[in-house]
Parts: sequence; structure tokens; C-alpha cells
Amino acid sequence: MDRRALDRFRRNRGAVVGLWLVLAIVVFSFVVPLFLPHDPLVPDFEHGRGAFGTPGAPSRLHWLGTDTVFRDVLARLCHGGRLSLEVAFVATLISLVLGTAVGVLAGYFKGTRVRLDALSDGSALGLAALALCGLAAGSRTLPVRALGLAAWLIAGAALLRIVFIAEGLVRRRAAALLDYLDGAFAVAVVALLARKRLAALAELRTVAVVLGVGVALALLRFSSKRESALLFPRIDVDDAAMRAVDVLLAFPFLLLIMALSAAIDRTSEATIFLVLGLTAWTSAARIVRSKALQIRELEFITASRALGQSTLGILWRHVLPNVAGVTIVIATNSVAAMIVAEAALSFLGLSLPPPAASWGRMLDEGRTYYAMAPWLLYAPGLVILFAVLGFNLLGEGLRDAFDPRDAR
Amino acid sequence: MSVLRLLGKRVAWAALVVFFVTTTTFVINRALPTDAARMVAGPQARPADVARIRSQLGLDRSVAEQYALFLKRIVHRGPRVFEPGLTPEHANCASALGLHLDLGRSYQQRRPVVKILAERMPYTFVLALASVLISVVIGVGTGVFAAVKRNTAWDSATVATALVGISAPTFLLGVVLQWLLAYRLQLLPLNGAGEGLFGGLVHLVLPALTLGIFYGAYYTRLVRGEMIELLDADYVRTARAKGVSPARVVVVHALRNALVPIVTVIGLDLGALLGGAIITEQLFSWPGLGLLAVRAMHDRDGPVIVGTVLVAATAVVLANLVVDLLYAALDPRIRSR
Repeated sequence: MDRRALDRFRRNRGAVVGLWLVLAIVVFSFVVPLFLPHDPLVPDFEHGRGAFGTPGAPSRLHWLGTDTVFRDVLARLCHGGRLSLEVAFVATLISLVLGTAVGVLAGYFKGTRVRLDALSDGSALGLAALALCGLAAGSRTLPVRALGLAAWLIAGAALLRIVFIAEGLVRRRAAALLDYLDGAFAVAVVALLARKRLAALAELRTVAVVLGVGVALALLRFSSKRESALLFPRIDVDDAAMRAVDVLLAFPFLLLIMALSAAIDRTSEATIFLVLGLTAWTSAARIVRSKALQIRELEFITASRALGQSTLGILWRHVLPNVAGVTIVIATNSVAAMIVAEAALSFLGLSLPPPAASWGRMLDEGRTYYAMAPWLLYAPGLVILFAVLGFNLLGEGLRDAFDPRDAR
Repeated sequence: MSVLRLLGKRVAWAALVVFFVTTTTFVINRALPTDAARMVAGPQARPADVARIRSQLGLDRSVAEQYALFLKRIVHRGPRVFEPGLTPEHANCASALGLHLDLGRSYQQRRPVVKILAERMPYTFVLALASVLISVVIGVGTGVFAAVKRNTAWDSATVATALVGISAPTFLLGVVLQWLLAYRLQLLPLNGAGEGLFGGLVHLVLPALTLGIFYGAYYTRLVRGEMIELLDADYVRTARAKGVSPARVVVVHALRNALVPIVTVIGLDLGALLGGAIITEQLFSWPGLGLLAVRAMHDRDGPVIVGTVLVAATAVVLANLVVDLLYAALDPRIRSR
């Protein structure tokens, strides 16, 4: 952040308030629990009980009162905050890295066409393998488990494949290597599939079809007409990436997360931030892409290419630093969105299982008691509001500071 | 040719997305940690019965075959008129034009999923329409107001309120509204859906208001940004110089042009809402698709999960399609691209 941006940020009252709110929430979640005398999971039957066994009202001992089973609300709020922030930070990091990578590649290479078969192989294999992983996870039998292991390997390889494509984009020389790897990989996979089919159904017709397709594919790959457009249709990098984003965006975000966490069954903090991070990168990808599209038209990019800078160098030295501002803004807003998403999940009872403290569930538990124990409602409510507001304000302030033209 | 080609391309792409979504729901359904045959047979069924149902459902076949069966079952041809009781193979179907839609049977409710979805849809539909209506009134009203009063205290107050509005998630806003309007002031019922026209409307107010305020705050920011840009545009200055009344400049010249991007966002939001407003419906026990989805998740009720995800995703895809085509119809520049 240069001097002028810093000045703009400092003069923006909302941004400064946002920064303080964020700092306060971080201290509240990570530092305050160290000094609290109460355990968030242990009920205090002696001092935390109100009349007739109602939740205890705020007192000198329990500053924010106790909940329905007499646990200290303040301690639970702090621990819930830690969960919420940890999930939000890690999920944001995942979605940001993914989104920035996809966005920069899609934007910078818009118009460059890669071979559709390579791209679709990678994604199709990845999808199929992930599906198999899911199926195998639900099974108890050994062969299916083994299949699951193989599926994980294939998923990893498919990921590697897509990385290779990106590599081929930035380094022309890698493209040739990519083709050979591609061929070897496809033959191996087809052979594997054929064997599986052979074992699964001893049906001659299916085997013939699978083998036929496999042989045809292998022949195509090693045919001399490698560059023929008919055999190897090419697709715009940008189109491919944005179509993938479209598919992911078609799912209602919360419903997809709910379905995934229902399918995973055993919920841990890791599953929550993985699910959130792997589904939320689409908006970051879109924004970074449009920024990268603008940047690649600028003159200093042409200049550095003329001076012999490699593509990778241009991406690393010139494109990435220039999207960094946008990325920081997206990250700040994304943390706010992730806090809301985590709270929403736990509000619906799909986050960590009960004894653990989390803001959403505290709100959900509190809302049935708002006539009797209003502090159970306003404590988590205000904390959620302040946390989200803080990150939103900070994000707005950063955006105005980085990009004064948008500051209206 | 371009319009027709665009139409064809967009429709084909929408169909492809729906297909991807269907595949994903199959994966999710398979990954659920429950034994479908056991769920269908019931907790007290004999092992032999469970095995029979397993082979009936095709659960003992390979995954590829199951996937093929799944796709074939969802959409297939069947008699145009049929009696569910008399034709057991079409007992779970809904038919239209000789095509049958079969989403299976709910484990929990023991009824066809299409029936359950059809019961829930009107509620979600009404809620979505009402909340979009409220949010548009709020958003356009305050947005235009803030843009006209730009750089005054009124403007900053509106912007600050809108920021608080988008920072308060629906579950927070909903709880506060419920506490204020239903508990303290006793103006509205706490939750549920009422009987008759009046009862229905009275019960609709709280959930619709919750969603309406939340989305309205977004639209306020959007409308304000668009309007400020347009009020500075040359043609607006020309209109002013020509002596057009200030109100007419704002409403006819600026707002009308600001509407194109705003309508886009509203259309997409409407699509998302038609899939069920999960949290709001849960909070107010509004018997729509969202509440159904939450129940199904808790019960691990596979067919219902698949059904709700499919309906919601299809609504989003359709909304996208309609918005795209509307855009092309409204803005001639896009057609040529």
C-alpha cells in the first residue's frame, strides 16, 4: 500500500472503525479466552442458576449470564469466535488461492486455445475419481476401499494434469512434455477402466464398447494428425474456466454446503472450511479475471514482453502484484461472508456437534428463550453483527483506498 | 440468425448445466451415510426383505448401472393418463405430455417426492415474490433518494444503514423482527403459515420482510451506484439543460437506464429464492422448499435431498437463462457479440 492509499484509508472514518472492530473481534476470540476463569463446556450449577432453574442472568461472576445448561455465555462466545474466525480465515485462504489462480489464468490467457481433450480429460477424470472417493467412503468392503484409494490417486493425477495445462500455457516447452504425459496417462486409465468393467460385469457387449473406445482414443492420441482441429477441438482457456464457474454457481450455495456436510456425516472444523473454501472461490475468480483482462492490455505488459520477459515472469512480476489490491479487498469481504456462512450452518445444526460452542447455534438456542433470557439472544447476535460489519467496513475502506475512482 | 443462434446456445448450455447438477446430486445421494434399502424397508424389516428391496432398487449393481438407472428413472416416457394405484411402476411419477418425472419416494414421509415438492412450491413461490417486491421497493426508493441527495448527511445515513443491513444475516434480522413485531408488539403471528387469504398474508409478512430488508439493502447500494454514474452522464445534463423537470430527469432519464443491470441482479436473486430461502423458512417455520431441505438433511432423506437440490438448481439455471435472453432483447449491443 503506497503512501497516498494509506492516507485515504486513514481519512476514511468507516474504514478505521472497521479496522478497530476487526482487531477487537480477533482479540476477543484469541486472547480473551486465555484470561477467562470459565470453561465454555462446563456448567456452573452453583452460581450460574437463575430462579427455578432458568438461565442465570448477567452477574459479577458471569458477565453475560449463563445459557440453558448454566455454561458461561462469555466463554462460549469467545470460543465460538475462535471457531468462526479460524473457519473463515482458512476457507478464505483456500478460495482466494484457487480463485486468483483460475482468474489470472483465465483473464490473461483469454483467447488462447488449449486442447479440449486435455482439459476435459483432466476435469472428467477428477470428477469421476471424486465420485468414486465418495462412494468408497460409504462402503465397508475391502475391494471398494481399495478402489477408493485408487480414486484418490486418480483425482490427484487429474489435478496434476490441470496444473500441467497451466504450466504449458506459461511455458511453451512444457507443452510437448504435456502431450506425451497425456498419452501415457490416457492409456493407463483406459486400461484400468477396461479391467474394472471386465471384472464388474461379464457382459461381452459392454467390454467390447469400452475396449473399442479405449483403442480408438489411444490411436487418436498417437496418430500423426496431432494438430488436426477435428480430432482435437480446442477451447478458449477463459471459456472453459468461466463455464466451470457457471456450473458451480448454479447450485444454491447454502444448499450445496448443507448437502455436502450431510453426506460427509462426521463434521469437523476441517470439513467445514474445506467445503466452504472449495465452493466459494467462484466470485473471486470472476473478479480477478476481469481485473487481469484489464491489466494484460496495459502498455507495460507489452513492453516487458518486448524486452524478453518470460510469460511466467510477467504473470509473477506484473499481473499478480496488480491484482493484489483487488484480492485483498475480496479476501476481507470473503471473511465476512464466511463468518455468516459458518453461523448459518451452525444455526441450522449442520456445523460442529453440540457441546462445541459456535455463534450460530448460540443464536438458535437463544431464540426460544428470548422472553425469559434475552441475553442469550443479544450476546451472539451483536457479536455476529459487529464481526461481519467490521470486515465489511474494512473491505469497503480498502477498496476506496486502493481504487479511488470507485470511491463515490 | 443471431438471435436464434444465441437462444439455441443458451438453452443448450442451460440443459448441460442441469445435467451436471443432476450428476452431482447422484453423487451426493450415493455418498449419504445411510443404507437406502434399509431406509425403504424400515427399521424392523427382516434381512431377506432388505435384500429383496436392495435388488429391486438396483443397489446391488455396479455404480455405472445405478447411474444409468437413476437418469432413466428421473425422466422417462410413460402413459399420458395413469392411475398411480393401478400402475405400480409409475406410482411416484408426475406426468406432463407423456413424459414422466420420477424423483423416488421419501424415506421419512413414505410418499412420492414429486408430490411433496408440489405441495411445498406454492409457499416458496409466494414468499420469493413477496420478498423481491419488498426489496425492490426498499432498494429503489432509498437508492434513488441517496443518489439524488449525494454527499449530504442523508446520503451517508442511507449508505451506513444499508451497510448495517447487509451485515446483519437473515437469521439475525429475522430473530430481531420476530422479537419486536411478534413478541413485544404482538402485531403478527410468530411463525407458521396461516389459513385463508388474510391468515396467509399475515403469516407471510415477517419472513417476507426479513428477506426483503436484507436484499433491499443490497439493492440500495447497487441503485445508488448506478444512479450516481448516470446522473453525471452527458445525456442527463442535456435533458436538464433542455428544461425537463428534475423529477422527470431522475425517474425517466436516469432510473430507466439504471434498471437494466438492476433487473439482472433481481432476476438472479429471484431464481435463488425460488429454490427455497432455507434460513428464513426455518426461522419462521414457513412450509416451503427450504424447510423441507433442512428436514431432509437432518433425516438423511436421500430422495428428498436430491429433489430439493434439483429444483433449486433448475430455478437458478432458468433465472440465468431468462435474464440472459432478456438482456439480449433489451440491449441490442449484446446480440451482435
